[in-house]
Amino acid sequence: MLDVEFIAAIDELEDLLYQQEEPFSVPYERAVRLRHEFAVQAFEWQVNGNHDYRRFAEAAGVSVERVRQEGPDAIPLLPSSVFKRRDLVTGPLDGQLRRCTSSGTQGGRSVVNRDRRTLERFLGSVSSTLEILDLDADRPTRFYVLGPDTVEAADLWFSYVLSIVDLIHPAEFYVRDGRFRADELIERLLEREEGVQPVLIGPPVLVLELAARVKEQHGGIDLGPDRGLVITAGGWKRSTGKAVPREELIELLVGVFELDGRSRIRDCFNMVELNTVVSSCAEHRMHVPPWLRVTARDPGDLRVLGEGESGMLGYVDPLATSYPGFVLSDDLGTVSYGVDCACGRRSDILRIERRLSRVESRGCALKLDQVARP
Amino acid sequence: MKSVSMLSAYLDPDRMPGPGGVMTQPFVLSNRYGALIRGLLQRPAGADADCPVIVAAAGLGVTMRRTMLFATFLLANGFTVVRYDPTHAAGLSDGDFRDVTLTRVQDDLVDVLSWAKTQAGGGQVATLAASLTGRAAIRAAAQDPGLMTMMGSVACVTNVRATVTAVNSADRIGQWLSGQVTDRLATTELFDDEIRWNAYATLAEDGWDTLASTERELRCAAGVRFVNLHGENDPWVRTEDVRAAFAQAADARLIVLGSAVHELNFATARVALGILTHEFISRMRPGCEPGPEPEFGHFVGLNKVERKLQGRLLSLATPSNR
Repeated sequence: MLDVEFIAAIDELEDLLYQQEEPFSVPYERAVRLRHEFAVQAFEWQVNGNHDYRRFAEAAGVSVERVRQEGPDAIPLLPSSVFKRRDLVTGPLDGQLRRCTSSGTQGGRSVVNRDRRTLERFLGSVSSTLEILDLDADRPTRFYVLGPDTVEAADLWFSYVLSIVDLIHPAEFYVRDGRFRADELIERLLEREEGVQPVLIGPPVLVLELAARVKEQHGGIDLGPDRGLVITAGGWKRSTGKAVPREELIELLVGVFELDGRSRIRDCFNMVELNTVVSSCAEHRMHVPPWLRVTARDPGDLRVLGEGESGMLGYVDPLATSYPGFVLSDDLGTVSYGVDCACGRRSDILRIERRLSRVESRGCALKLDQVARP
Repeated sequence: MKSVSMLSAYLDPDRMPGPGGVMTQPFVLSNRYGALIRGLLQRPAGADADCPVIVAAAGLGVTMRRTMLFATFLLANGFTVVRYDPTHAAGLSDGDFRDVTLTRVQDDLVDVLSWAKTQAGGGQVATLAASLTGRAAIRAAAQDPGLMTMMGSVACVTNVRATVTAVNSADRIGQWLSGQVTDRLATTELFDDEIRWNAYATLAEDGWDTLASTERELRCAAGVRFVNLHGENDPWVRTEDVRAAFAQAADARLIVLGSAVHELNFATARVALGILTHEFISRMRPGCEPGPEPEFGHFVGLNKVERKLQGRLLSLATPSNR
């Protein structure tokens, strides 16, 4: 009989990320236990491989043992501003680093260094979110991206994220040389192939601009028959003056693109310091994947706030290996835990309310410097 | 039917450069039935004329895009890679998926391997196959062991009836054999895709369905080295069937990937392709050391090249088809 060699190939985190068709199918209680384990492993990896983070954790008096006992909320979070002034790299690295930058709307660009494993896991997180977005990797689909392609996206993380959807389905890009080619996209949508699901994806300001032009020029374009989908990604950033309430945007988009109901509008959330994408379901709820711990924190003392209380959003993301994915963001929002959603999933639900203003951000940064100087 | 020597092929002379100096050329090959197989020939930077060629065959029901990650590993290690979509299967080649049969998949693989030999400049040719296509590759090797030096496979199916029963949660081959279904042109499903009952009928009629047939063919494929990577948690392929089958080969290695399932992902691919690349090098490029694993950017870059070439690939025709 032939000898069989046995080789360990995948750990529990990557099994959940890559091998579960729907990560939310893991029972919630088990997901909480797994998340605890993943957080301990990720914390241990970071304190062992990142000198700066180790000092930060030591200063906060947090050890691996304490995280093991108390769980992910004990992990000290790095204010996102730290990524604006310090190159945080955790070794050993897997291949070359890709420099990923923020758009710098809050003053100064954050820089996050991603190695091969971190990038692959990010793509895994994008793939794992397809089910929640009602997208099928094997169904004929075409993404119309209101953003640049990978080359033009360069280091800018938001654009890069939009550009790599091309790895999943064929994608066309309608920002070239820094300009949004709305008319070109409208022509293309009018001539699109039947039987291929059209998916418009881009920042809300460009989606709004496209809808306004379509309405003005053609009254509407019918994307409904092929289960058309519109996905907004990212906030209004420099265009807060043009921001419209979400409900108003949904109503406009459903009408202009003649979509099959409000459930055909979705939202995705990510930021340069986060290695996971969080997406909304047909009920417009942002489901937090089981490996990611999100909490709302009191801006004064960083304590974890209760269910539905508004605070600064903090993330413990074990998917990041080449940098610490333990981040306190500049966003205000709420988290509800173990919610049974009408979409059939049970998970934590994230609601982002708004970005902190620069003045608030500076105020918080001053306070944070007192409690959390890396 | 054409003989293999009469196959007509057209290799696009325009080469599109990609990451790491990889050159990609679309090709079309008119198979023995006159249907067009569409594919890509990818050469690593500085490839010699006799650079060994690996034909990467995706599993049934998926397109050659699924072998792009395979290609990045092989190209990074100095192999020329030929990837293609079989006819009457998913992808860009001729034919409707409803008319798929494993026999046709094998015929196309043999035709592509024969053409690939002409691109190897006298160098060696090997196969990297997945799932049911792996079963087809075993028969190709058994019928003509000179076709390939080695067969690397991932999740190779060795007991076809057990696997398609597990996939469908129903014994469709048994239903056909028992006469419950008699209209071979009627449609049913495989992997949620519509196919004709003829696919199941021919699995039985052409002797694909049993473990014994795989064992017999592996005994015949003397001179070919077989290396198979099998997922410990593969829901469709039983470890005991794989072990029993490859035990019949004169030269085989079987590796079980702990906790892995049927399809590869970035994590399991690292391990599987690392092992397979090492095996291909030992066999086909002795004396060479494995290179570093390809970067994520290579994967993104190669995808970009292939997306660009898709329209071109669809427009190509062989001289006899123009």
